[in-house]
Amino acid sequence: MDAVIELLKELTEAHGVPGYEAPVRAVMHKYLDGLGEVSQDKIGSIICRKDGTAQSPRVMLAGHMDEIGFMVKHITDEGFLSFLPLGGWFDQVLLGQRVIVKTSQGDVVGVIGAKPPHLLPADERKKPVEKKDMYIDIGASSREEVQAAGVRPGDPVVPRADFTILANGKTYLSKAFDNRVGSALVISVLQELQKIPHPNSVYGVATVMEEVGVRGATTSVRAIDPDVAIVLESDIAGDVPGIKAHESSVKLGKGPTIMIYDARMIPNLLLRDLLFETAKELDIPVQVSYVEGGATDGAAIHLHGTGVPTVVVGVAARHIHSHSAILHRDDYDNALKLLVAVVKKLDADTVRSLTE
Amino acid sequence: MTADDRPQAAVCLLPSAFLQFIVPNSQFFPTEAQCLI
Repeated sequence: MDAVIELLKELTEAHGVPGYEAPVRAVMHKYLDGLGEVSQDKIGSIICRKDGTAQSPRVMLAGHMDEIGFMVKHITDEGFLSFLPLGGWFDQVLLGQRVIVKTSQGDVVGVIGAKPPHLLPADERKKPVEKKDMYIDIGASSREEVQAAGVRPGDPVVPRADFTILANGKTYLSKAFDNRVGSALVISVLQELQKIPHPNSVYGVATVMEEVGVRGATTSVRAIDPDVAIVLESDIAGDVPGIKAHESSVKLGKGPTIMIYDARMIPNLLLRDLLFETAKELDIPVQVSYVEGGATDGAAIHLHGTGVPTVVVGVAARHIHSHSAILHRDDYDNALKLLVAVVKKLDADTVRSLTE
Repeated sequence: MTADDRPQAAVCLLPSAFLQFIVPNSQFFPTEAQCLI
């Protein structure tokens, strides 16, 4: 298994819903320790500082490490769990999916229960079930049985899904590519920077709680006070049935994306263009993306202090915010090439020119 | 990528201790959706 596959497998199979990222943070530590000076902010984001040939400018590379999931809200007398969503779930991807309740006594497997079609009248079969009406079934028949398994309100619940290499060998299927792919890129970029000089200090950050409102980015950007930032994210691939070209023209395997718009940030235009120009110089394929119904850690980072020139680079994935997303290895490798090349260009003069 | 597309100004983040004060029996306020006032 090559190093990138191993890294993506390890990161995506780790359990880390917003506010409960410790298992992912442990994986990040394993890879980041030795690549720079590693620290942590007070809500759990992990920061790795790698000095280059100059102390400044400070370049922040941020990839959030949380994944969407749930939290146990209530245990019914009959032994079912009601839950709170942690992040933006689409109700229709939930029914029948396996989950893991992380309890103080260990992992408890369950399933999001679904009424069988046999019992549904014709009109009800056409109606989507809402999250608030769903429950998690761990196979118990009473509250006492659930409590004996160690389940308590407040326990985090994570999707259960394995990392799988698909038939063509180039596409990978897993939960949590949003955004372990960004966390993995933070590691890969820092690994590459061990081998080459760069005219800045790079702060690789795996932020927490992005999916519930970019909270880790809000605190970690204060700890770093960067001069420039690149957010590393899973983007949305539009090459599936039902998505029109004007909604997303992004395709798997056609290059990393450079986001020109999202609901909470317009990138620094000069930084955005620096990425496009660098991609052209190095013959790296890139794609333009825009997301009207979502946002990234850039929302908090670009508004830090008096403002931080920020851009988002993405690796597109199909079916994000579900148990099973798919991305293309070439997009990861090309994102890495582009990021390393751009970081090498971010010297003091270049970064200053971004805001002149 | 968060599916939260609300501008920051529309999101009210209150300390949990204050939420406990105004809703005494509530134990968990983990998402912003529940903090919107």
